[in-house]
Amino acid sequence: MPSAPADINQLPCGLLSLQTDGVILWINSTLARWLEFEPGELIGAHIDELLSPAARMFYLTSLLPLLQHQGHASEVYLRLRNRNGIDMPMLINGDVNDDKGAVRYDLSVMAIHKRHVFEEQLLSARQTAEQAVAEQEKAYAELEQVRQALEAKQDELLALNRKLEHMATTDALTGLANRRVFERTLSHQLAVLKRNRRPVSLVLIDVDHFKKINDTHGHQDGDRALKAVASALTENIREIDVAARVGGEEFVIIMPDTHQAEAAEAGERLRERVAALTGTPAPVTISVGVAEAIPGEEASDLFGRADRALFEAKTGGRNQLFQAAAPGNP
Amino acid sequence: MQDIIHRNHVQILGEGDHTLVLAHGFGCDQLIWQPVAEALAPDFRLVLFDLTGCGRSDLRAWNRDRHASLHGYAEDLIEVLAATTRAPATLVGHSVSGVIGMLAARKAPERFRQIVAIGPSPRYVNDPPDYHGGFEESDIHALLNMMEHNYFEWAGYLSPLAMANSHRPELADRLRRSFAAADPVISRKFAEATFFTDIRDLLSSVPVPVDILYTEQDVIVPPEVVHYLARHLPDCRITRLNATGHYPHMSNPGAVVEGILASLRTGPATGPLET
Repeated sequence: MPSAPADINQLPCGLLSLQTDGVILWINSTLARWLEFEPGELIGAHIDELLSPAARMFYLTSLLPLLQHQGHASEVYLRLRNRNGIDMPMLINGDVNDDKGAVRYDLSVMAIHKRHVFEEQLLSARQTAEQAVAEQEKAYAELEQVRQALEAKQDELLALNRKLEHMATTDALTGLANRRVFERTLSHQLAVLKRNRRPVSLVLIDVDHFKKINDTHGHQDGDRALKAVASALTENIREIDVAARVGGEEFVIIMPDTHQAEAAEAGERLRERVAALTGTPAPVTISVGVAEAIPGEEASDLFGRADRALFEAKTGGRNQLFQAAAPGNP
Repeated sequence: MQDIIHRNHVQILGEGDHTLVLAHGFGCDQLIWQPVAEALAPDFRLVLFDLTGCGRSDLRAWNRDRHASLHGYAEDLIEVLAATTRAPATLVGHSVSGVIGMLAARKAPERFRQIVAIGPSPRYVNDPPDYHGGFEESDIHALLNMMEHNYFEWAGYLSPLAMANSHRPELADRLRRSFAAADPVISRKFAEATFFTDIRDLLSSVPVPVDILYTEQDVIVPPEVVHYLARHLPDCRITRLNATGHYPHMSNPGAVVEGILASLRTGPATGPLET
């Protein structure tokens, strides 16, 4: 039966015994040789002599608490400093033993040069990677900021577009559709009429003696009168009707799906409502001309017929409504 | 309040009008006070706790931003004081906890009677030519490196390698969260917060009396540091203990108990806090 090796000084493993205050009680030849000392030189010395400042700190804050609290330490990485001041990576297991009433730390020490080089490379790769991750996160954060700024700009642009669209289609004073919208809507309705035979009528309105209101009461009161008329119009037409301001004191209502007689009734009602307005600077009345479109008729012709009816209302004494005659029957 | 008790695993021992709060240093937890606490418990009300991220504290309460500097730990300490005592207390802080106590006292002076600091340092790294902290910056990096080697957790440590090539930030986030849950990371960050700290500029505004207990042969805090503190703290006494090393409360608890008792200042204590 093979016997155990006799001399633990010669085993390929470092062995070290310490007093609790760190004084070296015993060190085997193998560990002393690794550290380039004679064993006798180290016995009685303090463990600090084998530790760099960093290693001392680590010994005190990590290895020692493990021994004191747990009674043992396993696979602790620590660098021991050799005679020439070179720090050598070691892996240490430790136990707390009682030596005739005196507490002693027994440590076994393995040199781990190759493994250490490998770990160092991994650690350095990891640090590089960590830095890369941090930079990437920073870049993401910056990108996110730019994206948010862009989004804010886009919102601003959308709001601006809505405002422009509103300005381009609305009469600023009365809030009614402007002439452009009127023309577009009318040509659309005339196309519908041509294709589907759906009737459409125009109700053309002019405020009576507007110049006199302006001259007597001033522009501000004139504007107020126009707004009052515009409100009376919008409040008394259907949703499908389009009311527009097409000139200084001239309004028009496009009434889809409406024959002339019906449009005339609506126009008459509007005339009454305006005449009944209170709260205007002076009594306001309107004259009204009504015309129904004939299939194939140009917008300008239809408008012309409504305008002639309006002219007759004006010359007939104002505050009244006239219907257009059929084309060719003036 | 209950969450603070749980967060820092707060234990209360003994009874008395005078509360001593015992705060452990780097690399340990409240168990290190056991011999000292046994001696003091008959005469004082003792509050023991683990710094957030240490011992049996709630590791989930550790926050990468809050605990990146000692100021976060100081906030924690103020919360522990608020949760455990109405009257101003005496803080007994070992090592880094002495400094944490000074920071906390600046933020909430009304919570402190005095500070007894065992082996504190306002800055560990030398700042030549006028300041000798005991360590070069390279020493601290070597310490952190040694810690990293010891906390080699292959899967965890390699994950950033994968993350570096990832274009999925949510994955990086998840990995980082799992990372933060591992205490090796906490220990390393705590080491950074501790050993790279520099509160020299704040010493003159520490508003409570400080007693420093120190030993010969403290390899972490050289005597120059103790004298520096004595010169720069507004109200400071220093006492050399009949003990050696950075852990006198382990190596010679009797000397530490004596030192604490001798440090306690008599005279009218400040009345209880308004609640």
